[in-house]
Amino acid sequence: MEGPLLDDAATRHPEVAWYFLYTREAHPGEHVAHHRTFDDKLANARLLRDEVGIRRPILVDDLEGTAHHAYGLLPNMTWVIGRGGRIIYRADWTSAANVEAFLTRYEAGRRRPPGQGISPYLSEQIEYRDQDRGAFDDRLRRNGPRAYDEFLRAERIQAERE
Amino acid sequence: MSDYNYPTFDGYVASGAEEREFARWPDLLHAGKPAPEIAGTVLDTDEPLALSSRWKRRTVVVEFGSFT
Repeated sequence: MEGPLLDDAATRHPEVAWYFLYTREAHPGEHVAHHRTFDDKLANARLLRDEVGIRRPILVDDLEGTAHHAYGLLPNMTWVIGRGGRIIYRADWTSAANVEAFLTRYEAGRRRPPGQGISPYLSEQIEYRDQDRGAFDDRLRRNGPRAYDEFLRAERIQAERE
Repeated sequence: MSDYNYPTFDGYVASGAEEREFARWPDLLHAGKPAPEIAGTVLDTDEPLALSSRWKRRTVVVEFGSFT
């Protein structure tokens, strides 16, 4: 999760509106459990804000995950919506560096006056992101020892499928 | 309650739901298409907010996530 890095990017790009949408708990445990009620969800979102220090506005999806369903249910996506409501960027995992690089290019292009020989185009890439397994394991343990153990079991299930 | 708020991650993976969700994502919603509404509750104010009211005039970045 690159929340703090995206917070820094948000500070550098105040012309853009930034939100963190709190979804279901991806790895529920004894301390940060799955949501049975909307109050559970609000309480976990407050804990996330206060412990991780997310500075962007946090929007809490409804208990059924209506927005999360609409965008495909993956655990740490980033989407950018352009003025007027069209999707202009989507990533199945969040890379703060990639999001910021895209925004810098996009906003610079969008602000160029008409007639300066610029035209939008569509692109799609596969890229690599930094992965800090130690920090991830720490967050699993924060959710509870069960969350850590279940993740290891899930990895074995995934490995057996490959 | 639906299985959306699954209680155990290994159970969710064993059910095949995670694999199905990742498999279908590449064919879902592409750049250039209208964005579905993202509505929720603003944590700091407890007020409802529909992000379409924001992307009328500004570019909007939305990170989806939870604790991990």
